[in-house]
Amino acid sequence: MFRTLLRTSPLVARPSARLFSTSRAVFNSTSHKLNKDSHVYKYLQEGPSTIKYTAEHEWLAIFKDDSAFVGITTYASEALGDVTFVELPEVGDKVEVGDTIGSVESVKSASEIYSPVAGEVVAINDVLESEPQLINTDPIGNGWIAQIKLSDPAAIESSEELLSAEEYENSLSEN
Amino acid sequence: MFRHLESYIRLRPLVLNRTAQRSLNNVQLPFQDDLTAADSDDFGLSDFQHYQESPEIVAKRQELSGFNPTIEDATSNNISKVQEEPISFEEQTKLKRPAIFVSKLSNPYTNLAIEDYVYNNMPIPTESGSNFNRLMFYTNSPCVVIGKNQNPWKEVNIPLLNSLHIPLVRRKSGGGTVVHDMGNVNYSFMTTKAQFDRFQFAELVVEAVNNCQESPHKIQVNERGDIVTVTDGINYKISGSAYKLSKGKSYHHGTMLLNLRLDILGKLLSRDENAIGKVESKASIASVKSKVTNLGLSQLKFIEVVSRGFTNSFGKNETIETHEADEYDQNELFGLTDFVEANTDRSASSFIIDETTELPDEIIKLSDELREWSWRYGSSQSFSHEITNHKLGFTITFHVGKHGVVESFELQFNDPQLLAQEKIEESFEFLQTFVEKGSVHYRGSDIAGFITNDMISDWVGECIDNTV
Repeated sequence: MFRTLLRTSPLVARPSARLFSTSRAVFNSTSHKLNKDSHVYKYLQEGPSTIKYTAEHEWLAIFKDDSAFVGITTYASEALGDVTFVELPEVGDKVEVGDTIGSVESVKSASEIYSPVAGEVVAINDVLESEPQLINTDPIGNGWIAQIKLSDPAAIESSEELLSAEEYENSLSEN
Repeated sequence: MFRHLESYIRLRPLVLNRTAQRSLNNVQLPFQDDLTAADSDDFGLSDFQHYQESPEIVAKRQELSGFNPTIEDATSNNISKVQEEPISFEEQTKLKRPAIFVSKLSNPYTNLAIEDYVYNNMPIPTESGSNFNRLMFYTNSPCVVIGKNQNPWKEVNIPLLNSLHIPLVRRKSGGGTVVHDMGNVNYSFMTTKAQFDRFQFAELVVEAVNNCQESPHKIQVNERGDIVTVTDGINYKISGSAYKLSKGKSYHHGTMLLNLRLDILGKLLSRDENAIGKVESKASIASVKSKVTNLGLSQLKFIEVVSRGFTNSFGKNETIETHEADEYDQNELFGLTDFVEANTDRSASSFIIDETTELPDEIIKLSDELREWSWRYGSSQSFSHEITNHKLGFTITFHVGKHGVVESFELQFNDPQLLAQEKIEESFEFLQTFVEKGSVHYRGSDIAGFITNDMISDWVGECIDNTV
């Protein structure tokens, strides 16, 4: 997806395609599972009911109370590099699928984050304002960005854009 | 790539001589239309057919009164051909092929809005192998441009900026603060998110410039993706880069210091904390200070060589279309087949934006949004600004929250014996009332208006942004 975001130095020759395919092997071995020690997992005693992913590399942990935590995946966090700033939405913001809910700045790049679901922002992870590096150290866990109260919980199962862990990991190795 | 450029240089005099002959002797050659078409398509010069010379260049050329081998000469005869198929700016932005835009406008808000519009309207290719990449050039009248997530009070000498009537602009990409003037050219390379690469376009610029004999400096890309030149072992930055990634798309834009007023740059970006106060903001991007210098190349030349680099790397392969359009093979006719195969099978559509270009309403709307105080200043993260009045012996610290709203302020008296303390405190009472209502924005004129002592209010206004 991000072809050579990982390059940290300019190359004289540019075998970027090959470079990227080697680094992709690393991605495949990384886990895209929710960190069980994180605040997100412990939000409800029984843990989340479903975890979904998007092609834009966001994850979604849905709980029984029809709220969902949203963040970016390990793949996206590694591709972006050191995160230096996180722009968060505001509690009370109403969002539709695909709306911008914030952005992440890393190495002079501003990357938009999109909401994979419709609903209302009920909580934001304001720890990220002082500790943006949480996006790198625990992207699928304490690096969550916002909690959204779903306006249409039934849409989750019928959505074709929300991928299971297996589908998401397959999409990474296909590219 | 190298081979292409070499052969380009080798064969270039051929076409120029022919053009020279025509323009000097005003000889109407037979098949002139066919010849001009070949000039444009076969030599990869079609990018420049919309290019218009600035009045200075025209004057200079007339002064030299005679033949001056510029790209414009080589393509000036093509204007009639272009006018046959006028294409609007909006149509150009939607083209499903690589395209170059050169803005001749100098308003920074308009240029950033055009850049945004071109980016938002760039189609995303569905099949792999094709690209609808965009390259845009623009030069802004003097302004200071901060990164999306920066704090202007912290990065820029705002009082000086406002006293010189230089606009402060916040862009939508990340990174640090840069100063623009007419001696700078901004380039903006847009592609898909999948093709995003921090270094690719900077490397293309470096190669294009280093292959240009007129360039006074050899340049290279550093580890931050900036373009530098090394003199006596010291790195001097001549171009800064910033990036934006959004759904399916990305851009890399950068400044290129050609002949910038570097003395003014230094003054605008240095803050004397003793005089205008200290700004603390945990959650904002700090600029990385670098030594800078100018490349010293002309704007026209820079745009020309980088456009050619873009066309060689990303231009659409048009060989088949060109041949279909021709009644006979002109390349063979003029013995140029080798040259054509080596170079000119790639082209990119180009478009010049000037005062006569009809811009979509959306661009006007975007540029108005960029002009809003709420975007330029108000979208900064929470910060505090501590200013000390040495004459009266007190310090005031403002705490500014989201949307640029003052949350609170506190006074500190450096001399406990100060007789005027009570009077000074009194002059801030009115401000206190309004700050508590949450209705005061961090603008010098707004704050000063609530301070009841004229001397203190002028001083606070000056320290904030020199609007009293």
